[in-house]
Amino acid sequence: MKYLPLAIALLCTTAFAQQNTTNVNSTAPADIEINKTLSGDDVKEANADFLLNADHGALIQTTGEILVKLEGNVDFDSFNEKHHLTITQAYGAFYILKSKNGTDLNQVIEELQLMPQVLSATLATANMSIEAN
Amino acid sequence: MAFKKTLIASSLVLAGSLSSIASVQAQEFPLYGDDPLVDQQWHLKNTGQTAFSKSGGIAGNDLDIDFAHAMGIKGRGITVSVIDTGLETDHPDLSPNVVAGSINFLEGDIGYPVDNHGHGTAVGGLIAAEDNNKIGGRGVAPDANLIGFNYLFAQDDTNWLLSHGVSADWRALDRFTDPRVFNQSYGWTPNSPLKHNYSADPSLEMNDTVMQDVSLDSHWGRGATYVKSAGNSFQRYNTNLFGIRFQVLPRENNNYYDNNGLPFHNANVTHTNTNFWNLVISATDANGKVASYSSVGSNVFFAAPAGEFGSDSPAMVTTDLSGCDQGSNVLGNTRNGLHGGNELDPNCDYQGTMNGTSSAAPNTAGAIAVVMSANPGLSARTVRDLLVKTARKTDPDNSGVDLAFENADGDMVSYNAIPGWQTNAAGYHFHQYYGLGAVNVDGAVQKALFTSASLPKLQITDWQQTIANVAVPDASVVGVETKATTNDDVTIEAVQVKLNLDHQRIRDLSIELISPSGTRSVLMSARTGFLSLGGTGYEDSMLMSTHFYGESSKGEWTLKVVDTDKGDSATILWDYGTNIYRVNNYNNLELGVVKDWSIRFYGHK
Repeated sequence: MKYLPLAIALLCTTAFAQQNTTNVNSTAPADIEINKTLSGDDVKEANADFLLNADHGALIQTTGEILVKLEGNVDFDSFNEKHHLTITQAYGAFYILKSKNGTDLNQVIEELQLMPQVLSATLATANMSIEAN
Repeated sequence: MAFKKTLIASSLVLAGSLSSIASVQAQEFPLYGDDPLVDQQWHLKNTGQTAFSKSGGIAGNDLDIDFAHAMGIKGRGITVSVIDTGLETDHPDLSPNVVAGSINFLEGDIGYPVDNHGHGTAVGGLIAAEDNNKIGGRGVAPDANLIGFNYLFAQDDTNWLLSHGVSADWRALDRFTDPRVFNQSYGWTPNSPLKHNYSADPSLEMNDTVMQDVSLDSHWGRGATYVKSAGNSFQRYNTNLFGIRFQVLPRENNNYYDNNGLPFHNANVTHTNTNFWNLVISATDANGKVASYSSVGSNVFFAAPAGEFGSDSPAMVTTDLSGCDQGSNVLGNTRNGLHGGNELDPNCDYQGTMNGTSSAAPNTAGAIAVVMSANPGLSARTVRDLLVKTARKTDPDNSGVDLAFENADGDMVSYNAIPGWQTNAAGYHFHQYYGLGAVNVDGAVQKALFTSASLPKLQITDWQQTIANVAVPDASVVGVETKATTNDDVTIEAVQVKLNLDHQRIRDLSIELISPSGTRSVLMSARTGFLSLGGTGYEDSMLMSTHFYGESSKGEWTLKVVDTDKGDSATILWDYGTNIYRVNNYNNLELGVVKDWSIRFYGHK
């Protein structure tokens, strides 16, 4: 939001009253179009920094999961008990852990990364920009 | 009706030859049965009907499915998974085909995958609405089994696994679930190229691993197929910047939405679309042409019907959330003639405005279920191969798009940015808009009935890297080429390229891959709506092409990069309110550089 003081770029018109706030488009998004009668002079330049978005335009949220990749076997039982975690799913070398009671997951990840059999431990995220097509 | 089916089947058996089957299959059959809306389902049999819109399409532009349905080959025994907003499993036209396996992620229980939106229910109806039951229309595979997941409202890694073919008991030895077809009518459009890096994104590695295992090893080695919508961003797309939702659109020649006829989004931008395991589908309208919104690209495998918006021209007629107070068909909605309590659907259980590549994907998923049911012993890859061999050249006169631009010397030049239909060295037709062609169910069913052996084991070659470090001349149709020779000799099913390329305005660039046989595939079309501004360009970005299907991988491959703009054409960001910003309107100050690229092949010996 800190880049939004693009005051010079603001253009006030009621022609753009339509909003598209739903996260799921039941149909292809062709209904909502910019007012084509506006001339190029109505359009202002954006701040370059505004576009340097590491998430490529995605709306990213954490899911409350930790995704762990293992090399070999790890006994998660005592670790999970200590941190109040549970294994919600696993596949091959990947395990998904979830907190039962709001444990600080960043702290857990730091501890996991110190374990010799753990190849990676990351805070899982969901891309909320994924929509029905 | 039963007599006719028996007669047809008997005559086929007596004739006993492929050519006689082909002769019968080429004939037209009615869609037998009592489904009051089936006459308006143009994707099943296009007669030029309006589908309750103001105009009709062109007869014949459909899935070519009448012969399969007449033969009673309609998906029996094949389970299709709807990974979506949910599935109204007690809908009267879906419930007969619903089997165990659905999950309601919103409430964390097995069973009813509540659909609070309606999209998944519409998708489910396209796949497997029951036929001959005196209500509504029918699905492409009306005998197939259905399960559903409301994954789009509960996205996390756990739910991804459970909805994409992995069973809940993670200690079990056999983790594969029942579906042989997974429909994914969802996606997103990144505003700049993504990095394909397992270290940085272990979730991507996990997903790719699961999809590979399920695709190749499930169902006793016959595998399953993931079907994926290409995207709806031919003209524009949405992006989020610092929590604000913007529409991104082109502006050329002083006109909004003018991109010189070129697609604004390329399906190769979305990294899950560059995954070999996803069968990426573009959308056609009722005239057999690319739908106005459909994302396209070299990674598109097939095209399938989806339609336009159901008001001026046909969309899909399919199931809707039951009742006139929810879903797309509600009282007071007159956008489509079926809506608001039509006598053929007084309870508003169906709709006529479903569209998008969200519809093209389930129509293909249903088609695959039908072909699989014709010969369940074939591997999923073989079914895909049969669909390639029989795909139809839709919109056959489409000549692509030539882009005129002023080159660095000040001369106007023309560049063939989107080629028309081409034929590769193995004899397969392909087009950026339609992949290897439009799905032809009857043709594939015919081949499936007479195919006894599946394709040989899939070969995935190692990445072969080429260090290039060559400059891309600005605004030059000549471009720059870099070459790599491979000794791997497989019959290609798909090619992936991983690219590192620095450029300050990558929307200027067209990236082509040319095979040893001379087949030219545009991996990334010029004037794609990237928002990069002073960024680094492509960094370990994955691109895929299906255009070399059937060719040999052995020999010299050429990567060609062409910069098509030195001017000040712009990209527009609109916040759906009063704010409009112009970006990308300065040419690159430095020449771009192709640093390195890697190539690998999926195919068989």
